[in-house]
Amino acid sequence: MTSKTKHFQLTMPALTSILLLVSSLVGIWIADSEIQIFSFGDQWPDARTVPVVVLWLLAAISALRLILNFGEQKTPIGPVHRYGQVFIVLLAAIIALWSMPHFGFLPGAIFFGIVATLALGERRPLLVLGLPLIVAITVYYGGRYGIGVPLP
Amino acid sequence: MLWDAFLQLLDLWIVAAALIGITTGVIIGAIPGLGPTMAIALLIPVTFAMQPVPAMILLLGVYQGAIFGGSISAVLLNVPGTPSSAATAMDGFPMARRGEGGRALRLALFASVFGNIFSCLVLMALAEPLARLALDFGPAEMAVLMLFALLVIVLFGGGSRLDALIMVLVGVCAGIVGLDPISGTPRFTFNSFAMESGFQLIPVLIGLFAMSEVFLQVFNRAPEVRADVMPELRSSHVSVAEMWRMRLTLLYSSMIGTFVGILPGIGSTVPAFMSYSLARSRSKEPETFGKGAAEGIAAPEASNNAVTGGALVPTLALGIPGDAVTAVILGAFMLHGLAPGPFLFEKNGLEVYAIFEALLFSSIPTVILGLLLFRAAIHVTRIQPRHLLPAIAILALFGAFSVNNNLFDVWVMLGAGFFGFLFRRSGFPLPPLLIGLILGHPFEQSVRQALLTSGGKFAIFADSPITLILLVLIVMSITTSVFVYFRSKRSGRDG
Amino acid sequence: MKITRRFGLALAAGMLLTPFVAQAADNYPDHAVKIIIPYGAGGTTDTSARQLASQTEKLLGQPIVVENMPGGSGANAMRAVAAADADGYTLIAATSSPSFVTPALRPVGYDPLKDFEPVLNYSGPYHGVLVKADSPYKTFEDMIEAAKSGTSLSFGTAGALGGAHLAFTSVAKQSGGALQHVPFNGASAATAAVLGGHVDISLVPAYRDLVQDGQLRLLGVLDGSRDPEFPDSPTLNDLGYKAEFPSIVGILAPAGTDPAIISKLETAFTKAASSDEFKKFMTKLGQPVRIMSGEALKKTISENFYAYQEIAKEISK
Repeated sequence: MTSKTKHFQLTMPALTSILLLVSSLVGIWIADSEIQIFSFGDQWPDARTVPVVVLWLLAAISALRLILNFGEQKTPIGPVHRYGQVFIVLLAAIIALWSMPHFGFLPGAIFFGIVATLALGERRPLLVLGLPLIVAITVYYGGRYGIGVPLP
Repeated sequence: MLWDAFLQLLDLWIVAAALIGITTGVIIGAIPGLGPTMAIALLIPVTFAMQPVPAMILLLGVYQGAIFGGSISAVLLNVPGTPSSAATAMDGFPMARRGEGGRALRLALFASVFGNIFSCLVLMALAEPLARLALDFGPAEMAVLMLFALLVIVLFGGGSRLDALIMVLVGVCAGIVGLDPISGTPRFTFNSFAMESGFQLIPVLIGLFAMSEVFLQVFNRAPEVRADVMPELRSSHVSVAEMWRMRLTLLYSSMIGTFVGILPGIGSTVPAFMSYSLARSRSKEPETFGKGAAEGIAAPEASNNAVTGGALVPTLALGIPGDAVTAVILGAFMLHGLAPGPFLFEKNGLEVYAIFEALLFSSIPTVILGLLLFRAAIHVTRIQPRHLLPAIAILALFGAFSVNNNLFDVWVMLGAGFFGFLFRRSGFPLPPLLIGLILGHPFEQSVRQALLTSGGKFAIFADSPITLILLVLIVMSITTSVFVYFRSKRSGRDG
Repeated sequence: MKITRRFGLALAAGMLLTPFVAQAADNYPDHAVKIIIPYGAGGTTDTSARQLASQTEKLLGQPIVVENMPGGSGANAMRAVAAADADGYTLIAATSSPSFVTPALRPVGYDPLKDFEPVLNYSGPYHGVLVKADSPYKTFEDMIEAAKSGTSLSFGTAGALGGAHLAFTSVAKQSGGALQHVPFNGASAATAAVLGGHVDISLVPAYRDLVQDGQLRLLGVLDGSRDPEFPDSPTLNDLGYKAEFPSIVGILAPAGTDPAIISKLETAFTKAASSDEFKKFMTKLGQPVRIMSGEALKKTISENFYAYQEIAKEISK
């Protein structure tokens, strides 16, 4: 081991571990209000036991992961504007899903497809517009009338 | 009897039924989200007008075809078509990336056929006694078996064990959302009715593997790959000698698949990963696993296809289906006047054996069809990701919706996609998360069921020979992995 | 004139209807009718409803489309149909648990009595009280006696808080026997558990072949009437308990549907369900045909809904 002075660096795994640690602690925090127990005369363990145990385990092991890999240098978080692009695609998907109950599957899927194609770096208009259009229409009509999935 | 049954198969309709069944199954299985259950349910009305034997051959062909079809998209796109083919993607996709997609698919095909034939022979020879054995697996036995499965995946699945453990726990946590298996009370549903059904496996699978790939590629913004630097399609020849070298891996994997298939409620994903882990830990070069090892493809494929025969054992011999697919098959058998259960073999022996033999012989058309299909399918790897991924994303929306015809599942898929992106960026392995999600709920249920029947005494987990054997296996696998860990640490320091 | 009369009627029923819905009765149906199945494709409820639909569409003169909306043990589909337009073009093939068991126990987002108008009942598998063939209990009374004299008996059901669970918990209360509930994931798993000796009793449907083969013994049925295939097995009422779990599979329409449309549907579905063709199909599937009028089904649902509310209150004390 090459032990230089270790200093904490927020790497991608560390970030995810912190995220998991925090979520599991929040999970434990709200477990009492989110899991009601009806006393139907059933004994221990009840509906709350397993979730709480599993959440504590997850919290403990995420913390352990953070401590053990303290000075780890690999997989830095990466450039922020790249995350911006990911969030744009995510947002497009959210908008598409939001609109589906109102406008149906087709417009949402086409919109999302176009944003994804653009975000992936394609700029030729024919491919940006045409590809999602063809795929979405094929999936929609194939799914709806071919295999009877009642798409909105 | 066997000969009479064989004569029944010499019919144009039966051959046609097998061909149509397998082809439909392979195609539907290859589409993410559409699995064998939907394929069979779709074709049941078509079989109404058919004779019982061709009808059942058609439907069982669909079942086998769909399990295999999932692997095609797993190998070529890294998007498992069905959950059970997620293990195949671990080595199939790296191999395809090297330009050996054809070879990966052939390995998968031959291993699948091996698994099918193996489990089918078991089904024909031992259906009755094995169904009895399955009944000996009560809640306590199932709980210990599932604990063993979880342990195997964490200890021998490859990569960092700590990361694998974290991912298993995340999967178990995701499985907690929904209704409690024993008291039926909502847990972490935030008063939403949609959340009461919990996070379904297939939307999570599509999100983790397909949607996260879209995010990942957006993040990496892969530069356009020019046609001349695209990996060349290399020779896809798989020799008999090569398959022969893997005979033990194939045999063990098929045994795991058949055996787990017989037990209710575990499905084909877990045995596929267990076989993968076993093949890796038995291998002389475990470091090649995850980078396109041939055995890493053959083991899960043999195993998940062997499940089909195993799952039919209790379904046909007792009329007790183990999962959704076999429940649908059970209904189809009944509709055609072949009521599964204790009287099936007495009353309809001839038909049943004809169906079994057809399952065996369907390997021939499967291989021919598979090889033909690969020629076309292989070119998918040469499509630019920026053109392929939006199409996959749209298919993912559709696939997630089709599980329950419900938009909530599409939201789940999207969420799983984002988390999949985070985990993959961080280098956390996704398969353990999948296994945690599959086994978490039934594991909790079995443990609590066992405690209910024993009046709260933990002794029930060491009460029967089956649990004792499993406990010994658990202790053995922990000690081996500790031993291997220290040995590798020492040799690492020496070298 | 006609519109205002109908409007008044609808208001009296406590429902706000758009006038245009009320007009539709005479030329109903003029386009495809949709039946929603609260379970997955390929199951018994789905298969039988599809057969019934394909026979009924010939009588109605318009196609009937069958859609699956699984999830939430049927509650998702019930909620969707409760919120659908009450124009007779959206119906549901409902079973016992989302119609009167689950709503009696926890909020589900619909009211089974106020939000639906029953059309008819056409099936419903009998649930049996089963023990393994080598079990010491030859009759229901034997079993209860044993449960009263110290040995706690475990009974498996298809899931937590199902009708079978509640009905049997009520039996335990009334008799004072020690009966421990063990929920399984579906009736098949509960059947396997009693066959393997992991629970003492199972309350499951689809037991015929296993009983005839001598692997299981049928001690009684949970339904209000005896299973015609096993007329010697008593119902819980016959045994002197005030408890039952009647199994229903029926067609419901959203409340506020024009009574004329309901009666049109009832006539058509009843004719199809009582045909020999349907009976033959159901026999193959191992399901009984049990026809009940919309009125009678309404009564069954409401009686049991209240009864289950009582039981739930009782056992959560």
